[in-house]
Amino acid sequence: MRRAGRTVDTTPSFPGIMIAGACRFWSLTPMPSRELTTPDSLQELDDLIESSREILALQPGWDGEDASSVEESTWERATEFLRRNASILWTKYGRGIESPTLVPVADGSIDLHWNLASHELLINIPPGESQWADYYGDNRQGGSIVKGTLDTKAANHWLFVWLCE
Amino acid sequence: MNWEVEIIPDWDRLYHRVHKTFIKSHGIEPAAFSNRPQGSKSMSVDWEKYAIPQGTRARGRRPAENAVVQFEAGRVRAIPGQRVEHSPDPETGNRAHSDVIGEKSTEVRTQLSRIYELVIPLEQAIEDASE
Repeated sequence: MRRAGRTVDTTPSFPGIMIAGACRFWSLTPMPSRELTTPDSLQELDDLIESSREILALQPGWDGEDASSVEESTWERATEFLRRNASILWTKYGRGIESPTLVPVADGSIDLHWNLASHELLINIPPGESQWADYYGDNRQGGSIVKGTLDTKAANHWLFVWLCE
Repeated sequence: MNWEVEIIPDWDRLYHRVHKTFIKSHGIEPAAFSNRPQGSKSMSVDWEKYAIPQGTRARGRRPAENAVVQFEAGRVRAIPGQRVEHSPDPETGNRAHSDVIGEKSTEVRTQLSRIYELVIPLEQAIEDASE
């Protein structure tokens, strides 16, 4: 099946669902949010968020060098960013996002990393609340580049839409 | 010791320790490639002229928790904003010590994660440490 110039995998993981890039299409048109149930992708994201709590237990020097521990406020900003924008993607576009890896960085920040066949996206959530997140993504061949900084509190679902292209 | 600072050829390899936290089933996360110690403007590597991968791993505080990867110096220099310089360290007796200098933005870390080669996997590091 092909829609609007986008190649779509015709093998649904269950009836009514197709996968393209990092996204899963539950519907070709947006649906009112009151009709929605929690899709698998949001459930997977919730599971990832829950399991990622383990990084809060890392002690200073967790990498055998001088790594900082991850503050709970940083983890909350990262996971809220992820959940909020994935929810917007679902309610506005009927699309679900693949779960990223959520990785602690030695400076106490957190990386959200999508390493997909068609795209790669890395978003770094810094420890300071006033600092913006740094991000970079491309199509793995040096094209379709997105990069810059973003306010994690603002709506940034466009980046997830890009990941679905 | 007063070692001379030398020019590292583009085709030479650089070894870098990677902590187990950054090793996932699909490969090594970009988080492995940051400037250290914190606040530094460079990422430490060892130049193959004076080092072997096993030595790079052994210099870690907990060697068994680290894999070792290698980069080709020229490919690192091709990443915008990155310089590779020999910086021998008499204090630790490490003549191979070198720096990849430049900010490690998400773009740079993504690029570094695409050009490494794994030379000592984590499993082997654990086996060697137990011998």
